[in-house]
Amino acid sequence: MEKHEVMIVANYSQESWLTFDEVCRICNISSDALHELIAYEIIRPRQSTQGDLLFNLVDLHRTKTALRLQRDLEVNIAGVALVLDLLDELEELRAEAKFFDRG
Amino acid sequence: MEYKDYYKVLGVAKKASDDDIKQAYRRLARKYHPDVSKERNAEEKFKDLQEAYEVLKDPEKRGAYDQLGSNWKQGQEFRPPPGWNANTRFNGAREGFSEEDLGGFSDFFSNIFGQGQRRSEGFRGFQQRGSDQNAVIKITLEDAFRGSVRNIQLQMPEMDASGQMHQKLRTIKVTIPPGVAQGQQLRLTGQGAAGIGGAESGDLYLEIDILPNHLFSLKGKDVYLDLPVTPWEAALGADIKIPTLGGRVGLKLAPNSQTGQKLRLKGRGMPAKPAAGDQYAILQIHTPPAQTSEQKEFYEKMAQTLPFNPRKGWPE
Repeated sequence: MEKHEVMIVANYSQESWLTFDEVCRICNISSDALHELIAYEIIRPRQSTQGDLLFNLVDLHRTKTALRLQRDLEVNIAGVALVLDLLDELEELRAEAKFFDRG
Repeated sequence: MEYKDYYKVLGVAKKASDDDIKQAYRRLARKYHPDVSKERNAEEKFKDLQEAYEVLKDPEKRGAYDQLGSNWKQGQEFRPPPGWNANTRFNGAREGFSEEDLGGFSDFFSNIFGQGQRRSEGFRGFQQRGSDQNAVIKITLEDAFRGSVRNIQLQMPEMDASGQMHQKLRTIKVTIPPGVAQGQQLRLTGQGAAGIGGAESGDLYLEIDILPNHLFSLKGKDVYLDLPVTPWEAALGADIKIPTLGGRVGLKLAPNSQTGQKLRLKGRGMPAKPAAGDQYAILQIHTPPAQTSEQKEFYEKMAQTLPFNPRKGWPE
């Protein structure tokens, strides 16, 4: 059942930026929905010199998490912003705790 | 295939009301949602929950499920009744679900209620973007510092022309630059699962996980090292060779140093732009045990020569 396929070569140094349309397509959401996530500062895309919005993989990851929380737990958009902030804080505290636990 | 006891998954009775089912789902979803849960197997449990709820919340599907009878046990070997045709009974069994991060429902579900992906015959022109895939690359701290080239192998589900799923083995050669950060992601466009009906493929995301190191701890791009010293090194000062990720370097310990002091080695942390991180050595004074009478006498002499109260200022 297994076929071996040509090797793919990837380089971590390549920074990937995503456009507004790409994020919508990857997450399968409307442009309104993405605008709403930006309005609630759930993600903070940068702006290119041409004025286009640029998203990094952290933004994409947060967008996906936000959509899952909305869909699976029926959290509204303001609640999603709050949950994500709290999750960030929890993550930081866990990392701190792990750091002080060393040795 | 294994029978799934959906009532058991949601922890409700067979005659539970729609409201009971909804409430049980909400409670368990909060507990096991992979984005918020630290429970073991949260992802798997949540997938089971979703599948159970997908069936029990829908009177039509619940009715059909109940028709299978109540003598089945969770995990029991199961065959659908003769003449059971999932695809004509249930259209759009998985409507509203993107498979993202969750993977598909069980074989049991697909056989009873049909599988969205096999609908292509009945729904010509149906298109769906392939799901995104995630993989974690575990590397040592040394490799994260120096950079590394990794060959990783992934089993990827793929559908052939007849609509059958196959596992395909893929090898990906990944170049990891020096100074890669914990959790850093890389997106490989179009390397996720294939799309349906000619839609584009999903993407593959690789995530770096830096393994704990016995000597160094990482905090952002700074590296921390506990530095044990003797009381006389701390008191008199010393030149000490200490390890860094880039090799040994000399460190000057000032006289009268104390435990807990942080000594900074600028630029000796993780490579980064615009500036590399620093390494910090945290001083820890270790005292030699007094075992022989001679050693004990020596400590007593210290007590006389060095009157010292580290608990000065404590209440009497």
